Amino acid sequence: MNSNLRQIILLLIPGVLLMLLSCNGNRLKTDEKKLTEEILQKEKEAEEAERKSGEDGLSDTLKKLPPGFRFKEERSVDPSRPPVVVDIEGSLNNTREYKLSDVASKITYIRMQKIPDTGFSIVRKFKYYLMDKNIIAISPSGILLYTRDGKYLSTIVKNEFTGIDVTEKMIVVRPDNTFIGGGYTVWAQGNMLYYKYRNSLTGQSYIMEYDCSRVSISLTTGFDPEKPRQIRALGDIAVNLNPGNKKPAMQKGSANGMWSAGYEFFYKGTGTILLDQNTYAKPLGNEFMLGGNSMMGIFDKKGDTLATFTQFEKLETFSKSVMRGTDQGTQYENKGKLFFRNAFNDTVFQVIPPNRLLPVYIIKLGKYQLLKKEGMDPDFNLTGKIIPGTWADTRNFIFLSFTKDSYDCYNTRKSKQLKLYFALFEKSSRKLFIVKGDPHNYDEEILMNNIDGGLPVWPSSYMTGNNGEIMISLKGKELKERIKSEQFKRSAAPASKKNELIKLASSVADSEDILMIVE
Amino acid sequence: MIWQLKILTRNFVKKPVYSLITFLGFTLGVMASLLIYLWVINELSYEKFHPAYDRIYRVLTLVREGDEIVKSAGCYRPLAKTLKAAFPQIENATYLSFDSEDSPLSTGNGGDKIEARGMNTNDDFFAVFGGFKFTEGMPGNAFSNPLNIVLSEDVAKKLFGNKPALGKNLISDKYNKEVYTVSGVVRIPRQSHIDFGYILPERSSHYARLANDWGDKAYVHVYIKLAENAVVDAKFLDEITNYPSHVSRFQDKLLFQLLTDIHLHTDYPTYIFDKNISSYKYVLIFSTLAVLILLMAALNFSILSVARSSERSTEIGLKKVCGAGRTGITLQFMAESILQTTGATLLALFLIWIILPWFNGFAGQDLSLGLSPGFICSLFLLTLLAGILAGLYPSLYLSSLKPLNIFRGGSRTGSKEGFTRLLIVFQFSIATFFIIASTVFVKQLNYINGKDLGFDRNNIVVIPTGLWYENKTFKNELLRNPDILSVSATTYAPVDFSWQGSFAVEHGNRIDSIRASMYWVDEDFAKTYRLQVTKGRFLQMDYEAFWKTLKTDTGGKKPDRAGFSFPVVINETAEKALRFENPIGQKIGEYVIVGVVKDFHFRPLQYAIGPLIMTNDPQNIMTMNVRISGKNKAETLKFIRETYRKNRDSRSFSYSYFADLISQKYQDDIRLRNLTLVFSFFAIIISMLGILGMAVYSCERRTREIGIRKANGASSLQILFMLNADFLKWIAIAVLIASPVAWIILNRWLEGFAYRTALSWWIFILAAFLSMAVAVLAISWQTIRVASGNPVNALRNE
Repeated sequence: MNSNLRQIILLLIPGVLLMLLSCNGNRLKTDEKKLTEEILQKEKEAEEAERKSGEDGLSDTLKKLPPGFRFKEERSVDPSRPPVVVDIEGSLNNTREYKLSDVASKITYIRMQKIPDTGFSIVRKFKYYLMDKNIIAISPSGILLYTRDGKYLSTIVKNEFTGIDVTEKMIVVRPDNTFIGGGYTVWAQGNMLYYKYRNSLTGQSYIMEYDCSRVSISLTTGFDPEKPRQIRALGDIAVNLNPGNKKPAMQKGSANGMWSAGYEFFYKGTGTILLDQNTYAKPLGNEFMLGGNSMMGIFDKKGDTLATFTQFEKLETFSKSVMRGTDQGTQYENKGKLFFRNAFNDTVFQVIPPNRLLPVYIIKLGKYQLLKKEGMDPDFNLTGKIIPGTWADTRNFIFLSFTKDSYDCYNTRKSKQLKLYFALFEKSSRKLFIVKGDPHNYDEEILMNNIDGGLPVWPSSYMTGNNGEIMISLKGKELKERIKSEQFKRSAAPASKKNELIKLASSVADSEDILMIVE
Repeated sequence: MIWQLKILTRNFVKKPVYSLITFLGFTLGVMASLLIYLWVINELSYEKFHPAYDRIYRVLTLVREGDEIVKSAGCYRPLAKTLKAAFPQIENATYLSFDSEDSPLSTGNGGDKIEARGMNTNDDFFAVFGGFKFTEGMPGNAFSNPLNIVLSEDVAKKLFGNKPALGKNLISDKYNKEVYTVSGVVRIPRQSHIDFGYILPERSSHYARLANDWGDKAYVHVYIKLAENAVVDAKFLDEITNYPSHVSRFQDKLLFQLLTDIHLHTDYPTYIFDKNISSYKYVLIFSTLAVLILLMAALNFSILSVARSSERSTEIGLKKVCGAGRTGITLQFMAESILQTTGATLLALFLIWIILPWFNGFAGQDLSLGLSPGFICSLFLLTLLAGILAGLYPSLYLSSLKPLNIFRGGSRTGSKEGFTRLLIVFQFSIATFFIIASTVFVKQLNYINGKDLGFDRNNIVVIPTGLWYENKTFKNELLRNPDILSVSATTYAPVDFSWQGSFAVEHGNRIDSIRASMYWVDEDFAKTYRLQVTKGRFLQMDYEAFWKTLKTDTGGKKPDRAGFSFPVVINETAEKALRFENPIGQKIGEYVIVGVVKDFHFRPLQYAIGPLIMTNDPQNIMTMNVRISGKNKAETLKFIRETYRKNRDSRSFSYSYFADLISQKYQDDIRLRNLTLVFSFFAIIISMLGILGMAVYSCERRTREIGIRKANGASSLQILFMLNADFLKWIAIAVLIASPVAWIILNRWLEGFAYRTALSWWIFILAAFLSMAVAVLAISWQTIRVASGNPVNALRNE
C-alpha cells in the first residue's frame, strides 16, 4: 500500500472515531449500575447513621459514669422481639429432602490470586470474610487483603511463631509457644477492618483497625531486636487489650499442656470483638470452666469492665479427672453484632452494650437436653440426649447440626455410634426440618449441589457473610476431583452450569485457592 | 461490457444447467437477503417518524421495592412539568396517563357507544410526539379547550365512518357524563410503541385534579424532549437523576431511555400499554442469516466456476497466449460474476415485489419495497458485494492457470476438489442449521399451545365491560342462559397480567416483603377458569359471612384487624415464597389470606409463574369472562350481545375468545417461526442447487468411468450408490458441524422461556436425515439418468 495512503487512513480512523464520539456529546446517558450502587450506598449510610447515633448516645452515658461503675446484667426478653424457638425436640420426625437449590440460586467462584510469600502456602484452607469491596483471607499464617474479584492487594499481618506446628490437617500448639501476629477473627464496619493482634513476647494485645480503602502500604516484617514492641501489622491500634502490660498476653502453659485441633476449631470462635466504637466483648470462660462465675464481659475501650454475665452452667462438684468435650457452644459475628450461646445453654444471645444479653433464639431440646455435668462426665450414658453442633445463621435459614445418643469424636464415628443430623430452620415459617439422610453416613452429601454439580454445601458459623452468603473455601484440586466424580456426572444440575464448572476446574492449579460464594 | 455480456450469453447457452443453477441460486440468495434487509430496516425505523426523535427520551424510575431494586417505565405525573421548569436543557416534557380499555364514547345522536383506550396528557404531547400526523385538525389547537378530545384514526372511523369528525361532539360517561369536542384525528403509525383510542387534555374536568398528584405511578409514562443545543454535563446528569427526592417524598432515581431504543432495547417489564416491544437480538440473528444465505448463493457460483475450470481452461490458455494478462482475466471473471449478480438482483426485486404481500401476511410484517436513494444505494452495494464474493476465488484461481500446463494436458484440477468439498460442507452446515432451528421453533410453539396452563382455556368469551360495581345484574342475566355455565368479572383476562407490587409480610416479629403480581377478580373466577383451590376457600362477596368462616378456618382464633383487611387468595408459588406454616389467616400488607389456588399461568410462558395475589376490588373490575358450554355458540353469542347492549346503553359489543387472546401473546414467536421457515426454505433450495450443480458436473466428468464400470458389470444401483456416497460423506460432516452450533444457539433461545420444550436428539437426526434426503434427491435426479444409460453411448461420446 502506498505509504501516503496508509498515513491518511491512520489519520482518518481516529478522526472518524472522534466524530462518532462527539455526536453522542449531548446524549442523555444515565448509568443504571451507578445509580443502583448509589441507592444501596444511601441505604447503607442511613443504617450507619442510625448505628452511630446509638453509639454517640452510649458514649455520652459512659463519660458520665463514676469510676468503677458496673452495670447490672440484663437478660430479659424484648417483648417486641421475643426469641425465636428452634424446636429440635418437636421436629425430629419432620424430615424433608433438601437440595442446594432449595436454599440458594447462584454460585460464584472467585480465584484467589496466589501470593509469592511461601509462608502462606502451608495453609490448607483459608477462612474468608466478605467486605463490601474486599475479601479478607484469614489463616494461621496471617491475614491477607484481596479485592472482591480475588486480586491480592496486601498482607495485613504475617504471623510469626514458634512452638506452633501448622500442618495440612491441624494446628498443634505446644506449651512453650511464642506468637506475634493476628487472630482468626476479623470483622468490619464499611471499609474499616478490625482484627486482634498479639505479641506473646512483649505482652502486647490489641484490636487493630485498618482502612482497606487506603493506598496499600507494605508491611514491616522481620523481627528487629532494637524495636521489640514494633507492631508488625497494617493499621492502627483501636483498643489496647492489655493496657500497661500488667501481664503477658498469654500465660505459658505447663510442659504437658500441648494440644491440637483442626482448622475448624480455630476458625469458628470469635474471641474478643468490638461491639461498637465504645465497647468490646470478651468471653470469660470456656466449656471446661468448672466454677467460674462469668461467661462474658463487656468492657469500655480503656479496659474497664462495664458488665459481666453470670454463667449458670457450672461444674461445682465435679470430681473426675477426665472430662468429655461435647457441646462447644456457638459464637458468631453478623453485621457487626455479636451472637453467642454458652456451652450447654439453650439460648443464643445477642450481646448489646453496655450490659445486655438479648435472647434471640431458643433451642428447644426438651427431654433431650443435656446438662453440663452430664455432658462432661465421660461415664454418663448419652442415650436419649441431643447435643447441638454447628450453627450458621443466614438471612432466611439457620443451618444447624446436632448429634443424638452420642457425641461427635473420632471413636464414635469409627464405631458408627454417632448419629449425626443436619437440619434447616426456615426463618419465615419458623419451622425446623431435618434434612433427609442416614445419620450414620457421615460422608453423605449435604446439601447436594444441584446448581452446578459442584461440591456440596453445609456452612458453619464462620462461613456466612453479612448479606446471607455462604462462603466455601476450596482448593483447585478439590474442584478437579469433583468434576471427575460420579456425583458430578450424575448431578441433575443444568448442563451449561456444569460445563462452566468443568471449564473452571480445567483452568485452575491444584494448589490454587478458590472462594465459592453461594447466594 | 458488451463483450463480457456476449461471453456470458455464450456460456449460458452452452451450459444452461450450470448457468441456471448459479443464476437461480443468486436470485434466491439476493431475495432472502433483501427480505431480511427490509425487515431489519423496518425494525430499526421504530419511532423515527417523530421529528427530532434522537432528542426524545422516556423517563424510567429506579427504586428499592422489597428485596429488589426495580427499574420501571412507571413514572410520576407531575415530573413532566417540574422537570421542564427546573432544567433549561428540556424543551418539552409530557406524560401519558393510561385509562382502561373500557372507556366508552358515543356520538350521542342515538349512535352506538364504543369502547376505546383513553389517555390523558398535557399540552406538550404533540410538541414531543410531532410524528403523529393529524388527518383532521391541527396539533396547535388540539388541547386549546379543556373539553377537546383527540381521536385516533381507528376510533374516528368507528364513530363517524368516513365522515369528518372534526368539531363533532362526543359523550364520555366513564366517570361522569362529559361532552367533548373533537379537535383532531391522528394517525398512529405501526412503528410506534404508543397506542391509544383517544386523548384528553389534563385540564379536562376529571383529570385536572390529578395534574399534581404524585400518587400511583403504575399507569403513567413520562417523556422529555431535550433542547437542540442542550448541554448534558455531569452536573445536569447528577441533578436530574436525583430530581424526585428534591421535589417529592420519593427517592426514585431517574433513568432516560432514548425513544428509538424502546422497541429493541427494553430490558424492564412492559405492561399492556406498550406495543411492539421486540429485541435487538433478533435483528442481529437475522442479519447474520442474511449474510450467510448470500454467502451460500455466492458459493454456488464459486463451486461451479472452480469445478468447471477445466472446461474454460482452453479459453484462458488461448487468451493468455494471445497476450492477455492475469489482471485482465481476473477482471473478466469478476465482471461475469457481477453481471450475473446484477441480473439476479433485478429478478429478485421483481419476485419480491410479487411475493411481498404474501410474505407480510405469513410473517406478520408490514414491509414495503420503496425505492428510496438509501435503498438503491444499499442494493447496489449488496449486488457488488455478492458479485465480488462469488467471483473472487474463481477469478483468482482461473487466472493463475498456466498456458503450458493447460495445453500439455493432464490434471488441471489441482486442489480445487478440496475447495469445492469445503464449500459443500459450508452450505449444508447452514442448511442443516436452518432445518434444526425451524424444527425447534415449531416444537416450542406446539409445546406452548399444548401446555397445561393450569386452567381450562377453551370456551371462554372475554368481554370488556367497564361495569365495575354494577356487573351483578349483567352477570345474573347472562346466567339465565343454560349454555352459559359461569361468569366472572376481572381486571383483564388472565393472559398477561404483569402489574407487580411489594407487600410487607410479617413473620412473627420479622418484617419481610414479597414482590407479587396483583390481580383483581370476583368470587366466580376460580369456577369460571376451573382453578383448583388447594387451601381455604376462594374469595367471597359477602364479607360478614367471610369473616365468620375465616374464624372457623383459623381454629377459632380471630385474625388480626379482621374487618379492616381485604381478603385475598394467593397461588402456590406465593405460598411457597411466604413460607407460612398455614397461610390461611396470615397477612400480606393490609390483606388477609383466605385461600390458596394451584399455580396457573397468568403470564406468557416466557415468564416463570411468580407469586400472585388475587383480591376483589370492584373499582378494578373491567372485564367479564363468560364460560359457555360450547353448544349453540352462535345463539349464545347473540344472547350475550343482546344482554350486553341492554345493560350497557346500546354500546357496540366486542368480544374475544380467551384461547385467541392467549395465541395473540405468542404472535412474536409465531412470526419468528414463520420468518425462519421462509429463510430455511431459501437456504435449503440454495444448498440443493449447489449440490445439484456439483452432481451434474460430476456426472459429466465421470461419464467415461461410469461407462467402463457398467461395461465391466456394475449395476445401475451400484453406480448410483457410488456417486451418492461421494457426496453424502461431506453432507454428514456438514451435519456434524451444524448440530453443535445449532444446539448452543437454540439452547440459548430456549433459555428465554421459563417453560420450554426439550432440545431432543431426534431433531438432530431429523435434520441429518432431511439434509441427506435433499442431497440424495438432488444428486439422484442427475445420477439416475447417467447410471441407467447405455455404456456404449457413454464410451462412444468419450
